[in-house]
Amino acid sequence: MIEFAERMATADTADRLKTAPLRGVFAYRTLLKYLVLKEIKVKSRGTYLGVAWTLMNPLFTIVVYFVLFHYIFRIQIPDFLAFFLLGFLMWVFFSRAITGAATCIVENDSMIKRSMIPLEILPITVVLYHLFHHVIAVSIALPFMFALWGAKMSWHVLWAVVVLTAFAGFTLAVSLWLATTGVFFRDTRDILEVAMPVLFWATPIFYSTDMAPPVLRPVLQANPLSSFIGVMRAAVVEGRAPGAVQVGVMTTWLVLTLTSGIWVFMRYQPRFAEEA
Amino acid sequence: MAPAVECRAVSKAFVLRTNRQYLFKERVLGMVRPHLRETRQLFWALQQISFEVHPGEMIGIIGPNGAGKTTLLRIIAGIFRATTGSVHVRGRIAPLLGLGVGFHPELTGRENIYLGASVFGFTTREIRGLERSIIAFAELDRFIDVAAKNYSSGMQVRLGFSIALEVKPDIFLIDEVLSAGDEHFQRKCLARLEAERQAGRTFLVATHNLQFAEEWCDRVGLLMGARLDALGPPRDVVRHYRERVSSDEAAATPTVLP
Repeated sequence: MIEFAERMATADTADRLKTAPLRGVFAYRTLLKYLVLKEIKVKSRGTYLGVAWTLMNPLFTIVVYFVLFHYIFRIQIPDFLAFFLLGFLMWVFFSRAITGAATCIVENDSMIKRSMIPLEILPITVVLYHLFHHVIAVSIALPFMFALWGAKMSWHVLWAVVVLTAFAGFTLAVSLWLATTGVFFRDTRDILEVAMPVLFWATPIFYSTDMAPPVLRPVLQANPLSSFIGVMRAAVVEGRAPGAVQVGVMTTWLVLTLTSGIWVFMRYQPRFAEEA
Repeated sequence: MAPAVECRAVSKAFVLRTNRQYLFKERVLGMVRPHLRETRQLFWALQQISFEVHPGEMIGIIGPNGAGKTTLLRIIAGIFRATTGSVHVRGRIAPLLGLGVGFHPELTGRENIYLGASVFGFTTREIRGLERSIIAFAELDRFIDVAAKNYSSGMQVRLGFSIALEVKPDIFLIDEVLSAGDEHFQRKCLARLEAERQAGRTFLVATHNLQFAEEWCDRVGLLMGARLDALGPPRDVVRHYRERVSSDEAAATPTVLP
C-alpha cells in the first residue's frame, strides 16, 4: 500500500484535502447558487413550458395511479388522494435526486480536474435542484389537499417544514453515498434503475404499513422512507402531531445516514479527481 | 523571504489498470474468470521533484507531452495528492488549468461570467463589481447576452481568460492557456500579465512555447521522464532541452543506405 504524505498547504483557498466539509461549502456558496440556477435554466430554456415540464411528468403518473388504486383496487383509506399524493411527491424527489447524484462526480470531471472547488458542492447541487421542484409541487398540491381532498388543516402542518428539512438531509446522505460509489463503480446507476422500482413498492406510498400482513410489517417499517413519509402524513393529512417514537426513529435515521454519508464522501473525495 | 511554493521530493504514482473493472458486474465475473481480472501496474508520473518558487517569481515548466507538467500543477493546487513528498503553499492559489471552467453553452456570456467567476470562490456582489471590466477586456459587449454556444472558440477563450485575470491571487498556476485568442488579444494578455507580475504575483507556467519561456520567465524547469531534469536560467535550460530533443531524434532516425 502506498503511503500518502500529509500535505501542509497554508492556502486560504479551499484546499480539497484539508477543508472541513461545511467550511468549504460556505466559502463556495455562490458557486452552489449558480450551479443550481444553471440546472434550472438549462433544463427549461428553449422549452415551451419551462419548469412546468418537470412537474407535468409526475402529474400524469398521479392521475393514472389515482384512478387505478381508488376506482379499481378500491383501497379503503380515508382521504386517499391526499394520502398517496404526499408520499408520491416525496418519492419523486428522493428517487430523482439520488439517481442524479450517482453520476454527478463523473459527469463533472472536467471541472473537478481543473479547479479547486470543494466536491461536496456537486451532490448538494443535485439535491437542491430537485428540492426546488419538490417545493413547487408540494405548494401547488397543498391548497387542493386542504380545500378539496379532505386533509385536516391545523397548526401541526408546520411540522411539514421540519420533516421536509430532515428528508432533504436524508436524501443528501444517500446522495453522498451514491456519489462516492458512482466514482468507483460505474454501474451504480444501472443497479439503481433495477433497485428503485423494488424500493418504490416496498415503500408505503399507496398503502399504509397497517394494511400489510404482520409478517411483512417489520420489513416495511425498517424502510427509512416509511418513517419520513409517516411523519409527513400525520402532520399534513391527519392534522395531528406526529408521535414521539415516529419522530425519534426519523431523527435517528437522519443522524446515522448523514454522518456516515459525510464521512464516506470526505474519506474518498481526494481520489475523485484521479478516478473520475 | 519564505518561498511561495515549496515542493520537497514530490512523487506521484498512478495505478495503470488493464481490464479496468469499472463495474460491480466485472468484479464478480473476475472471481470466476481469471483472464478478466484487473491487473495493476504502478506508473510514476513524477519522481523526486524538489524546488522552490520565490514570491514574485515567474517559473516556466517545459518538457515533452506526458512529462508530468499538468500533474505537477494539479498536485500544487491540491487537486491530486502527492504519493510521497510534501508541498507547502503560502498564499492564495488560482489554478488556470483550462479556460472557462464551469461554462455551459446554453447559458449567455453574462450568466457564464457569474458561474465561471464563482468557481474561483467569488461572491455575487464581487462579481457584479468585476462584470464590466471582464466584458470590456474580452471585447464582448455586443454579444454578452447571447448564448455561449453561438460564440466562436476564440470568443469563449477570451471570456474565460478575462475572468481568470480578475482573480488576483498570490500565486497563478497556468497550464498552456496563454496562447488564447488572436494576435491582438494575445498581446493584450501579455501586457496584462506583465502588470500582474509588476504587482508582485508569483507564476508557475507550464508551456510548450519555448520562446515565451526564454523571454518571460525568471527561471525554467525542464520535466523529462518524470524527473526535474534541469532548473535554472531560461536560455540554458531551453538550449539543453533542444539539444536533448534533437539528439533523441537523431538516435531514432534510421541511417539512410546509399
